[in-house]
Amino acid sequence: MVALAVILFAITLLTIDLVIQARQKKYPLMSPSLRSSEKADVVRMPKSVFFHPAHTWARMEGADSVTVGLDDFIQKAVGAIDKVYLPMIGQKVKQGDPVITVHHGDRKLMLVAPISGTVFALNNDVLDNPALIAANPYEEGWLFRLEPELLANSLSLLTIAENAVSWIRTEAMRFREFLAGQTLQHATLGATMLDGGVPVANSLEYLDDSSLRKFEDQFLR
Amino acid sequence: MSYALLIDLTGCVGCGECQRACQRSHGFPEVEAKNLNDKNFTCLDQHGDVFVRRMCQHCEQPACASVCPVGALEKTKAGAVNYSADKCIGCRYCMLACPYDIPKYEWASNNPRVRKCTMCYDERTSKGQPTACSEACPVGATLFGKRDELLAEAHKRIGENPDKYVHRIYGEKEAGGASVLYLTSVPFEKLGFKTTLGNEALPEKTWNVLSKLPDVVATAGVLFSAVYWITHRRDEVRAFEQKMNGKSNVN
Amino acid sequence: MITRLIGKLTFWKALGIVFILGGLVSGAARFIFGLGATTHLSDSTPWGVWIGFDVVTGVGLAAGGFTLCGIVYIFNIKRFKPIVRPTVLTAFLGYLLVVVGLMFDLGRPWAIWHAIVMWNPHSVMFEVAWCVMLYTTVLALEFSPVLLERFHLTKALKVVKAITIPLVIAGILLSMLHQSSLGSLYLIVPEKMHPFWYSPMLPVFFFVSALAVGMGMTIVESYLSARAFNKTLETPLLKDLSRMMVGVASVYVMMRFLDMLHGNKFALVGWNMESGMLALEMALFFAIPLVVHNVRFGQTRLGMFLGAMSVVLGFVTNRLNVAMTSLERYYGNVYFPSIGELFVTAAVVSAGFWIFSLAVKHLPIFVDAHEEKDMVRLTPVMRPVVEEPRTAASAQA
Ligand code: SF4
Ligand code: SF4
Repeated sequence: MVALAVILFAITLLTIDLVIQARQKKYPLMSPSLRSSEKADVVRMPKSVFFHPAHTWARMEGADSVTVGLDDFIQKAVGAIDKVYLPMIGQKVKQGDPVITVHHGDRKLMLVAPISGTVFALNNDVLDNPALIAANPYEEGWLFRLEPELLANSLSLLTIAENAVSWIRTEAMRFREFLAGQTLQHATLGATMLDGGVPVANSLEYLDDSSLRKFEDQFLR
Repeated sequence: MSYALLIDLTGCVGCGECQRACQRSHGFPEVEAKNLNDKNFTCLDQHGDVFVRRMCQHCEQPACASVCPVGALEKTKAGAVNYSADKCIGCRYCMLACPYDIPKYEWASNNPRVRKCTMCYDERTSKGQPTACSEACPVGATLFGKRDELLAEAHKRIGENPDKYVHRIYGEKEAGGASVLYLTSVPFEKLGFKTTLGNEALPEKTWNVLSKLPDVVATAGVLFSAVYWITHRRDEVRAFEQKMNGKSNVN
Repeated sequence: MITRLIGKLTFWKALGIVFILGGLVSGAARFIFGLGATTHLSDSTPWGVWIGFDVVTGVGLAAGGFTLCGIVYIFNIKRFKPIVRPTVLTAFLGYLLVVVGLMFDLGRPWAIWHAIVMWNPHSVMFEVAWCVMLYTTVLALEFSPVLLERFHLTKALKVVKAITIPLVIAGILLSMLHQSSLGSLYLIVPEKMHPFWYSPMLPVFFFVSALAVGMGMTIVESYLSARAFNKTLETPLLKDLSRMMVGVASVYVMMRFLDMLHGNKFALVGWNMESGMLALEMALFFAIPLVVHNVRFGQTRLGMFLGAMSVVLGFVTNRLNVAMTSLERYYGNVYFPSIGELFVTAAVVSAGFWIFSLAVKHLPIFVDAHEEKDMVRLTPVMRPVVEEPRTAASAQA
């Protein structure tokens, strides 16, 4: 009797929870997007990877293997990525070619390859479950591997470690100024900026389509 | 020198003197109660024309005492299973564990005690005096005495009247034996006695497991340390090899 | 002001507040008017929902702590390290709350220290009491690095880190002991319990099912905290954990099946309450998670969460079946807890959630040290405490 009652009660609560969750998803603006506001201007910048100025990264795994992904900054700015398109295995990509597409709802952004080479492996887990990128864009959230070509040449454009950190800081200030120049659709964002902080999390969600294209031009190429 | 009670159901006339004497000796209101509770430690169940006196059996290996985490219940040398309220924490495990559902609780109190027959331990049996109930019984159906003597008496009665008595003394062996023994002419099953308990004392079932625990702990402890050593050794070896490889590359 | 407060109130917060207030009132009532007046406990139900759920089930649900510590530290499967802290925290809170729940149930809670000085090594309850006491201490020590880190007590931190492994091993041994001993509690009532649940193997059953539910709880917690605190979810980890969980649950069910078979207990299966409850238990603990795990949906976050939740519910059913359902026929009365008993239980659970969320907010629970190093603040200057002209601040930057 007691057991039955407890289980039924628990299942009722669980159902209520699922209903609440489902309804929140329908109205994304009702959920506080900038919930972890104090963490909003923190990004991960591991010292072991090379960063391309257009926010993708590359890491040497061995003589003929380089792993590629997108950086934490862009990942946070876009918000939850729900679809990724990658180049095909065997495809030759050139540094700076827009070969990665990420979707957030009906918006999409194209990102470039950080170095040139031939793609030989894709991260199937990420294709199935793009949320892995949010978990850690440098580990389980990697995108593809390629066999590099003219590696030294490609690398000269990339930054690493301390240089990457100061680069991302200037990049953040540039981003702040960029946002200030656009008409924003969300008051919270403005408030964060007045604080002197750089609002990153989900901030692209509040740009209209033309601003988004501008962003792509100025930051992702 | 373990005392016991021998209750010969063929003699009991159901007068209720034992119940009243018990209530009187504890200062409880004298009422005819059909159930045990915190103010009544013995009662008479009527099955046809047989009256069965229900009370704590003062088991030889009491389940209640074995489960009590603080030893508030204990089997005394005098045979009584006695209760010390000043030790009890009120977990009520004894109530669950007793196979005869004897211990009752003072639910209405804010400083509750477990209540049950203590075989008049403090006042009488600790000094070798008979219990209030056995003294009160007008027909001698509840006899007080040493357990071995009472057992001998019971066997003698069965031997002398083999047709009258069921050839079994309830409490001699049941669940490890008890200090309250019953004789009857009607099969025990028909009188509401538990006949499914077997002769193994209940605490044995627990002790079988508890007594093995030190071995389990020792084995598991060694095992986990070994697993720890192996799994981490692998890491060390790998680290070492990498270092060596690194060196040879440099050379 | 009030409207603002209400605006911030989610359904869960509101429910939690109701439960905790109700629990406080009922708890006070229990100590003022006594057990008899405020609970439905009686001479024929000496143990009610406070023991059955708060203690017997609660300790099991906190089994994630030792399971995961064993996986990470002893078996050296380091992948799981990121979820060790939240799991140890839940285990610690779980045990504390078990003790709180016990305080309401004991007739003389102020005498609880007797268990430390008055020994009865033949009592399972005595052994459980000691293990719970020691293990709660171990958990506190295992969790202490979080606090020490937070307050930068490096020396103490070093000491605790140095004894991590002995602590972990002690924790596992203690857990093995008392998780199984909770089952041994019931060994003493062979003919009171329904044969479906009584078995000389009870301690083993309790231990194995605690292992499975430890993993299940870890998944459930990770999912809920990922959602509530906007933390990232270690999906691949949880996938592995969920596989192990289903594996252990299968072993458990196999053992139960053999027990039923050798005890000729299948003869008792039929249209009765016990059979129904047994079926519910098995469905929730084993069948549903197995199916969920093997369909595509089970690989999604929600799927993993629901699969693990099912194991947890199955576990709760099992413990309550052992503690209550199996005894109902013997005692011949159907106990149902009073409002007060329910409120206190609900309040204890809500308090657990609440303290956990506070801890996550204020302590470094979800960040592991190595990741912290990679973090970069995008705003390099700290905001000045005194409002300075904005130009000065930006010039500094
Ligand atoms: S009958 Fe019950 S209360 Fe009396 S000694 Fe035996 S186990 Fe204890
Ligand atoms: S209720 Fe008292 S006497 Fe009974 S087992 Fe618990 S501590 Fe011992």
